[in-house]
Amino acid sequence: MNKIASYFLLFFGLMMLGGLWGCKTDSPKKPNPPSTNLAEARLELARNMANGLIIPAYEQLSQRANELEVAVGAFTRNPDAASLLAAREGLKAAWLQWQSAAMYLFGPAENVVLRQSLATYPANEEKIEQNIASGSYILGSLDNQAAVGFPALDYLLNGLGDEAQVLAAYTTDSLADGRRTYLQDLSAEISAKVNASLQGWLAAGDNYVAEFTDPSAGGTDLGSALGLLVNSIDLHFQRFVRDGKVAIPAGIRSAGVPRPKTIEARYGGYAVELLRASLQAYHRLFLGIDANGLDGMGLYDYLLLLEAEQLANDMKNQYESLQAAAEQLGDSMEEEIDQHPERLEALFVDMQKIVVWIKSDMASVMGITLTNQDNDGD
Amino acid sequence: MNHKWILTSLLAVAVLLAACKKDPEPPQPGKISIEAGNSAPLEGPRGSNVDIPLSLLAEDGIQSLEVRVNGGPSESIAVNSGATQQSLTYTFSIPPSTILNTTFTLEFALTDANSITQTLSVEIRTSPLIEEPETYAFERNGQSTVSYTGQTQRMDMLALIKQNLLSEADKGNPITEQALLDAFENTNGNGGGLFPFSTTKQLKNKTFQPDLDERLFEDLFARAAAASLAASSGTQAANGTAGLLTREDKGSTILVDENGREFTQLIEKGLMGAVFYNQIFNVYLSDARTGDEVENVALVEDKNYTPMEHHWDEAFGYWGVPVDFTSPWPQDRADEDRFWGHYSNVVDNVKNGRLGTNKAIMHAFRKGRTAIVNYDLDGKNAQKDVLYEQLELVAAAVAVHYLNLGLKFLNEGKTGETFHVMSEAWAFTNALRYSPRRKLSLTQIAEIMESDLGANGNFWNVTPAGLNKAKNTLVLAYPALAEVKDDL
Repeated sequence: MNKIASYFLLFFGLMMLGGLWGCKTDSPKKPNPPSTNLAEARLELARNMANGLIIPAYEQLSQRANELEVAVGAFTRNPDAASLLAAREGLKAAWLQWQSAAMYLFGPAENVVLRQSLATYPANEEKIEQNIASGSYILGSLDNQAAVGFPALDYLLNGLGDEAQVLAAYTTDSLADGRRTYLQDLSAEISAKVNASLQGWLAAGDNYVAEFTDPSAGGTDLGSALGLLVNSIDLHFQRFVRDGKVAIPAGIRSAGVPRPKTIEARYGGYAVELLRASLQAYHRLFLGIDANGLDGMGLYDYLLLLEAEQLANDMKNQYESLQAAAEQLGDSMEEEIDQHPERLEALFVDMQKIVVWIKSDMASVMGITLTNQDNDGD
Repeated sequence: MNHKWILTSLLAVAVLLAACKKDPEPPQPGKISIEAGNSAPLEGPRGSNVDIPLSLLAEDGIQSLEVRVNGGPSESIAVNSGATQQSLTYTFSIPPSTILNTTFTLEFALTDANSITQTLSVEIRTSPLIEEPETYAFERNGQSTVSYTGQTQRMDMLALIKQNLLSEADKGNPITEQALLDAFENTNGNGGGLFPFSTTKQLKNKTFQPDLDERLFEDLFARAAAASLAASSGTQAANGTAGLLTREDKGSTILVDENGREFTQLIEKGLMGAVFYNQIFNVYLSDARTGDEVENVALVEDKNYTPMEHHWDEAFGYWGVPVDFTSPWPQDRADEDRFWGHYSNVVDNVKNGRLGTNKAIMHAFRKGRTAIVNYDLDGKNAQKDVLYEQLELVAAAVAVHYLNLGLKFLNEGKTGETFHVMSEAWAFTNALRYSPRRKLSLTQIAEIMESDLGANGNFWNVTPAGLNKAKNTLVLAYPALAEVKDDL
């Protein structure tokens, strides 16, 4: 990738970070005198999660996805350097925003299999090329899970060579027509699934928010709001953050032999930014800091009510130090893997503490049964 | 002179006598009455004798007593002729072929020496022979009347086909088409050596006829055998290629066809539908076997059951449960239910027992069988309706259960687990075809199986939208599923 584009993406990424999260770092104000009624606290937690974090995350993601669709449309109608850049920016912005929604895989998102549809990587490039060549594909199908979503767009917008080669693939190449169509179809599919997830949550749509915050979902059983949330982050943090973003590409799961092809956004080169965004989102989720930076009822506050101060503060501190450690990484994951594997190894060990705290301590203090059958292997 | 006097005297006597006859005292007729000694309503089960104590009174002397049943011919009852009163017991035999609640009207007519008749009308109701027992146990003369060994043997056969053939294929070992056919046709009375028992029963001749016409299972056998051979030399499944797939959670492999469908589920669950449900729905609950005209008095030669009783028991036998099965079914007896009974239990206790299919179906089988013993045809037919409804509901509920799991595994990106549960969903949806009262049309069923579970009959094409569409179709057709649809 050329340097100007890299700098631009870096600049853009920093703007994103500043814009989205700049207002967050004030020391969180303590919640009002804590309710001793745990059931009420759980409902408050569900309301804050739904209205303060989850729905705003989908709203923003939906906007980014729509902007991406527009930018991709403009690019396919008139493929040139400027429209390509805009499409790439649109992809990155949406992908970064996805980090704030990715961990909430229940309800409407589960209905459209959002995570597997948006973020299965590495992309199956052979399958993508087959689809483009045949012109016949079912984008939402299981068989195409690795041929759609952000990673597929990464390949198609960033992974076909230098800028001239990418533009040629959409203009002079014999499959240019099919490739433009496929690119449009992918971005439309992302928009459709994200919008369906958002509509599923909204009171004006399928109103899942009512179900999630209803007193009948205020318990600690599997179908309760808390049960869904804790199970969801148990699986996601372990498999998609710790392993997907760090352990697998760094080779920690493969005898120390790195697997650079499994780096998230490997062509776009912003895997570290995605990692930072994800850790940031987890920190906010844990504390209950909503999209406007207001600190409401979070898992942290609920742990305090359960008189698990030690665990609450250990986890809070750990999320903070994870973020600090991620800030210390260079922006290129490939370089980190190559030159500073020990930093990733240390990050992995620190993430592992969170995994254990979620899995053993937090779930048992809260009385939540975990259903994730993944063998942790640690 | 002497003669004259004698004649005159005789005449006088005659006149006197004649005068006497001409002017008698008016006669007082003697009292007459007939009463039943039992004031409670009379009743008895079919085939039983009902005693009717009678008190007769006829001051002028009893002449005769007759009885007419339901206005039929009069029948005379022996009485002490000339006696003025008598107590006797008349015994009425309710014919064994009497339908429950049939009422007999007995009209007794007592006539006295003066030919004066008094009548008494007595009603006898046909009551139940037995009450519904707590378990599926029925006796006659102290001996059980329940038998369904043929059904149990066919379930054993299917279990052995899975255990010794299909499971081997799933592990990557080759199996032969002939071995599957031998088991299906019960070659040599022991499934070509697969069964450790000998029997004349077989699965094939009980299989749904249209499936046999289409060679549905024979084709699956041939394809499974070919795929197992390829898999045994390492062929992995892919879109368009039959082979092995790893189930991510379970850790074991399954053999799937070129469309991702697991042979074991298609064959095992397929035969559960095509044989067991088919036999219940289209044979044993049909009019030919348990209709109102079926013999229910005479016992089958050398057996302790009537044909109607036995056919009902054979339907029960195909359900695969212990005689005391109920809801909720204890975990420590989970290995006692088989096939359909097992799957009823899978959905029975969801959301604190909202569906309660174990109990509903068990109750219907018991109640229907009790009705047959009592010759309660309406009662029997009402339970048939319940069975059609509930058994079909189990298949639909299990299908929704596996569709939910399919969506879950799709979200987790686990292809092997997804295809496994989709194969289950496919086969349980297929089972809906076997009910003549199915709530989904054949077109709707085919739509789920061949399109919603992946366009062009290919699981690799499955989408979350397709799974949700299939689920919605089922929930709309079976409203009982609405409140548990996300909990199944």
